Amino acid sequence: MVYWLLQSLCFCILAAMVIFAVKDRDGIRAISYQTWKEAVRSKGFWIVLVFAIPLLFGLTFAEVAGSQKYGEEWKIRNTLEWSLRLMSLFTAITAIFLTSLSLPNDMSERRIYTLISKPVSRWGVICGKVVGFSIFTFTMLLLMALFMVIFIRWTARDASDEVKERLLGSRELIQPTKSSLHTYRKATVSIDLGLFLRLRPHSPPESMFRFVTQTDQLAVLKRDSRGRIPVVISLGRQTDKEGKPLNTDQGVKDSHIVVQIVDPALTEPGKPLPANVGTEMKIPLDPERAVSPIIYLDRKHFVTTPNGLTSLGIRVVKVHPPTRSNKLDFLRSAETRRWIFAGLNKKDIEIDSQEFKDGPGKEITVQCNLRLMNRSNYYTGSKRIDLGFWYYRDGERHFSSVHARDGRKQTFVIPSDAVDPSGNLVIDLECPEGSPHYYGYDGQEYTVNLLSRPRSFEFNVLKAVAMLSGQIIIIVVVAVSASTFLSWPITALTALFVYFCGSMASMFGEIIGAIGSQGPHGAPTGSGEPTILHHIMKFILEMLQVVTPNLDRLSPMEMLSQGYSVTFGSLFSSFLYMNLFVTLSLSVGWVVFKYRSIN
Amino acid sequence: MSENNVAIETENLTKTYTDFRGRPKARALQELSLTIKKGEVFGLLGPNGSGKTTTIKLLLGLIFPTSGTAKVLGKPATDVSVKHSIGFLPEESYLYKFLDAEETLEFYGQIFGMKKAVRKAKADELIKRLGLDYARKRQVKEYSKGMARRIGFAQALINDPEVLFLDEPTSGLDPIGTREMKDLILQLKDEGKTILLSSHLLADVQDVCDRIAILHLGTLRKLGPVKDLLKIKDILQVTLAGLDDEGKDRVASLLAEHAEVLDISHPSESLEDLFLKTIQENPREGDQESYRQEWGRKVGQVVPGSEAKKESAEES
Repeated sequence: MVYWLLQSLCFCILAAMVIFAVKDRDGIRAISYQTWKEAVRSKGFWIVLVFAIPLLFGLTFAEVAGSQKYGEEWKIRNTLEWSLRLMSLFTAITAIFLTSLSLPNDMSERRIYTLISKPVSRWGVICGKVVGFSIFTFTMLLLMALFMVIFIRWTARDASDEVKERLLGSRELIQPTKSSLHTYRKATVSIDLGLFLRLRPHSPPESMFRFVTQTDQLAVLKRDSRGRIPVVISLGRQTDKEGKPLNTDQGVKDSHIVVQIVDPALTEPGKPLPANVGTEMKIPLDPERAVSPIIYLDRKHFVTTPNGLTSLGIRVVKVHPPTRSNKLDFLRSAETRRWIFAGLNKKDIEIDSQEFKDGPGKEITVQCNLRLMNRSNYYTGSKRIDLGFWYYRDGERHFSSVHARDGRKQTFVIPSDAVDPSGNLVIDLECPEGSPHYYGYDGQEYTVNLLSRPRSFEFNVLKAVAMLSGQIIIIVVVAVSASTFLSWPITALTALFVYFCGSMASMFGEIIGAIGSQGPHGAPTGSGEPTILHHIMKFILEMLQVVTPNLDRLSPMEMLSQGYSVTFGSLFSSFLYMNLFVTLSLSVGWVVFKYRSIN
Repeated sequence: MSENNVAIETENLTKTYTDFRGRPKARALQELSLTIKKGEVFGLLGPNGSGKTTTIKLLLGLIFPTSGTAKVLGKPATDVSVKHSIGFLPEESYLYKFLDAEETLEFYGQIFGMKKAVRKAKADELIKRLGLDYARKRQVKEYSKGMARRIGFAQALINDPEVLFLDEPTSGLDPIGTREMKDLILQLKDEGKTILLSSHLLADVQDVCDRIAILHLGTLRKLGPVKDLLKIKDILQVTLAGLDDEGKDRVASLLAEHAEVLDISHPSESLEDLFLKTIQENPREGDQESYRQEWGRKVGQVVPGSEAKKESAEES
């Protein structure tokens, strides 16, 4: 509510500024054109360009070297991402230095006398500078984007059609919009152990939690007087970039999870598992916070292996409201497991999709996580997994993919008509005979998205440029406004700070999450009731988080490198975010410059 | 004086510069009250730090008065609309160095909302009028000081202003440039423009101004027509021509009967006139020739050499 009020206020102020600017349109046009010329003819721009070209060439060579090691797709993804990062960086640096120098130079060399004595208001001068530099940086971004598109097309010329389609097709990423525990599963699951020890706070949802300790060290886990370990299980909520929860499941009845005792030591296949492995516990969840009450784990939950290692393993096996699949299973050599998604009807799909477009030619993506597992190391690095992935259509078995990389989210694309009339989708995962390892696969985090028609890569890049130019406009506005009352080095430093302080805003969000009565996922932290000091600190940090520009929010790099479309929705939200900082900075610059004596 | 006839008016105009904390640092101007009529060339005289530039800055709205009012063409000096009718030549030509003469004038013309064809024609006219035709495509950073002053003057005239503010218009110019600048000011006066001129070069002011104000330490010390202020009322000057030494002695003795004779001598020309004559007698080659003749035509003098050439051309 407060956010929208602030947005409305900023829109009103911006509208008033535009109305004032209309009176000075001739002056603004002249100054912006002159500013554009100034930028193009400046030495600084050419110096940056001279630095940029060798760096881009260096990147190309690095990509070629990398591609030999990691493959074609890696090369294209990285080239795309780094090209965008460099585009943003070079444009920002050019904008920062040109903009920071422009107005202070006009004042120190007294050109401002001649300018102000003409029929253009001081506001018109600021507007002219902002518009001029914005057009210049946008032109620069467009040129670099053109270069990048040519370069990426050239890099991907020999790539397989599948890779090209995946990376250059720019498919629409459809985000879930309605409340659902599904969104929890897309976030994290964490288990707070002993109310003191929080393990793997950012572990992926499919992780199996394994707490291993020697018998004589069990005390570390803060057993209570009866030798129990209190545990709180929380489902991580999907959050926005500032760490605020996106939605909750208020109103869901009988919300619960089922956890299962697992063998964290991963007994080798074929050997008998400890007796208590597989025991399940139903734990109710607070539907809003998705946090369990404290449960107590004791000896009967610990697993003792033959070599004397006592450990505790818990796995979330079910989340209620029922989900389509929560299975974490193991695939052994020469084994095929069938994975059935049931109830894929229109109603279900609507829950997770913004739009439903069924019919021939539409596709379904199934994302699953594949993990190579062995005794010594749970995460074994990026080894290749050879798996067969089959689906059925009209009773015939179709082959979709042969291999996946360990630890990486794998997306299988299946035609929508693979879903039979009863709404079932059957997928077989096949582990080839003679595989040295067995594999964990998890359908817990699958999404079923009906994809909209692939858009053109070039159009997607254009939208990415529009989003990036939002970053640069913020930089330009901040620099022009700051230069109305600061010297150019301080202005440049301020603009640089704004460009790089996105991570600081995220950090504030994390600290805010850690302060108070709730943990990062709504779990009690065990640090007692928050004091007034906590509240004050939280308030200050929240304010800092609001006023600290986070340009990461206007970053299309990840979307583009993952082959997804930059949606108009994200463009619009970028515009809203830009509106806040542009209006704020321009207001400061306007007021200061209006009443400043030009000596 | 009717209000319509007033170009510039200040009333108790005071400017005190303050430090960062708002404490008074220096009083640059103190209760200046002036009225300048339309079509007048008005000189602001004074030593460095007397408040001349501060007055101009106040009249242009670059700085704000501590107290008092400043009006230009009946409107407050900070009113943007009044700037459509004024032109300003700063003390030095503060221009964008990466632009050439044409681009500079087009830029300032565009601020006035002039259409492209109009501002191109105006820029062309001013470039020619100020003798910069040969350097119209050179960037301003390559200009000599005199050329920079000329392009600075051109930008002040781009909108054909009613009121012109000229801050030290002749500073840094050679005698030819100075003379040309003064001639231009007189031409503009003939065109009916009001000119406020600030200078500490007294001879320049004397040559072109109708009225002057002398400022010292921010306070107005003298105000009035140049002729009235310069007139020494108890001394009479008699100028005679064709008098031999005997006649001179007789006139001296005759005058001595009625008043004390302070000086009887041959009048001398000014150093400026001597310098200009010398330069004209030893012209430079090439493009300076046409410029020199053009200058001669402007100041209404026959340039030595050009007359002879003209005659020979007529004979042939």
